Amino acid sequence: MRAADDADFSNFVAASSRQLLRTAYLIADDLTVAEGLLQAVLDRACQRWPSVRRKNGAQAYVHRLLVRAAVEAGRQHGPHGAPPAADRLPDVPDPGLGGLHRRAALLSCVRQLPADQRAVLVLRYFDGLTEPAAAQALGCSVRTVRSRHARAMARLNELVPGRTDGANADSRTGGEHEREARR
Amino acid sequence: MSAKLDDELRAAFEVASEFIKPPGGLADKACRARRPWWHRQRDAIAACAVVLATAGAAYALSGHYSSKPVPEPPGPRVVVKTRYPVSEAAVSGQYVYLASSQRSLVAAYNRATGKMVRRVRVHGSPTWLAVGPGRLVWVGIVGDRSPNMILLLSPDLGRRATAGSPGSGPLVPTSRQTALTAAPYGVLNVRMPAPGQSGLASVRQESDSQLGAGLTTAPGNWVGLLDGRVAVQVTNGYGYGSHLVIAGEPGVTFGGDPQQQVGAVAKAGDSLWAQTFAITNSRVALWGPLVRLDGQLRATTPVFIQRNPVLARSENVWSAGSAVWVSTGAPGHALVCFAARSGAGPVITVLAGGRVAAVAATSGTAYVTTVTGVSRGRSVVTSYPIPAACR
Repeated sequence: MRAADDADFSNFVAASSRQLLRTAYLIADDLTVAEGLLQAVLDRACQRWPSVRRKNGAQAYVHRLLVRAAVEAGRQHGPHGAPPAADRLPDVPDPGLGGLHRRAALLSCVRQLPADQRAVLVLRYFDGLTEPAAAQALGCSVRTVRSRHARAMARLNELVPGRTDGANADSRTGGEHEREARR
Repeated sequence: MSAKLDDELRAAFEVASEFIKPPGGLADKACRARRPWWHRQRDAIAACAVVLATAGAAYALSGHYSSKPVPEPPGPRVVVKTRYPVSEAAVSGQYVYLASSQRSLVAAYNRATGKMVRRVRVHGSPTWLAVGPGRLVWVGIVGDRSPNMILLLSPDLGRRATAGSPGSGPLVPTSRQTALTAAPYGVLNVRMPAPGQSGLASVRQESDSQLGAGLTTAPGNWVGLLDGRVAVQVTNGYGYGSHLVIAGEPGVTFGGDPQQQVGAVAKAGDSLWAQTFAITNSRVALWGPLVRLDGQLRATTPVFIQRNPVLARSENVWSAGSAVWVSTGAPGHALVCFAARSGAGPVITVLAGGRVAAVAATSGTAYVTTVTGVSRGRSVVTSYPIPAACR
């Protein structure tokens, strides 16, 4: 690489490596694995940097490679931990910890999801991607992203202990109203 | 789908990955493979020079370890995953120290990055791990087919001093190079050479420090200072009749009856906290009530502890500062904490499930080690902010 490319690549890595590593970690659920994947993806990007840079899509290119590698690693790794049962959650919530226990329980449930469903959630809620952008990153159709997203959210509603989902409550009420109306 | 779950996911992802920082030199490592060999060689020489100069300057200026404060993460996070079962843990400065009695090793990890700094193999089972003055690491080792040992290590475990010990594993560091340990015939004062320096350790028995009736007494799993005296957990030599004594004061004891054996012990403030258990019909209970003891080893357990059904099933106890941490056999309350100074609680559940092997804490963060995996052969160290009510 020329010196200009070298500097450009270093700037790119400095600017985007933290966000990329966080994404890979959340999908692969293992920091050591995520660091290895990021290094491997950056190796590949560096080899093709002049052309990657010319296309003006370096971020998307590296992100795409990393997300797919992380999903693959997450698949091999399998789901982690066990979902926390409602009776295993603390009876005495610590007011000073705020939503800490709740977030920990939610993350524990996210770890139970298959890697491709977890990846959709991470791309949508952590990276803030739209459905088409998430589909492009994952290399699948928008329809697939939608169905994985729906399945992941439905599974989370089942797994998260003590969850009183507003949407579910409303739909049940709606259903009951419908049945009553039919009667 | 509800907007509430969306928001919760955003917050959870944000907090769970907030601590992550990419390792240094990512770009350099990535591009190194592409460069011609003479460029790589030139870079390597330059990098070595820079590293040596930086390390030399840091070593000279910092007194051998970094005193830079380590930023604490805001929520629970996995700090270290090990492929061995951890039995003891300690935390000091930038390091989390782990010992495995099964694998005969002691390791130091950077608590910000989780990277292992150094691992030391030992002969025997490291049953006691403590950080003393000067952030030096003391390890009490019970020999398998070899004598008991004491190991004194530099904070990064890079330098060491070793001595054979006539005492049992537990010890109390009293200065940079001295510690107290217990032997069947009394309390010993051990003076070690500084880590990395040659020299022999010396052992001196403290006067008037008998632990009980001669050969029928053996020091157990805990030694500590209480009101300037040495408190020792002792057994009858076969592991039964476990009770606490004050060295040199044969009349001051606690426990030892079949209904009140002393398991784990921790010191917080001017009190001891003892996890007790009963032996009935030769069956040993796995858990029992937690008891607070004063300087005369009298039970002064607050009512909120006595009446707490979770603490009636205590399995192990640790302390750090004024926080007391108790692992329990109560379903849904694997680890709880409370403030030792409090007379009325509350008792906070920190961990609902899992098997807690060790707890070590700084002023704001607790490092909880749980054992996992097949045959409990692995461990995970997770950091938790210490609840305000437990400080």
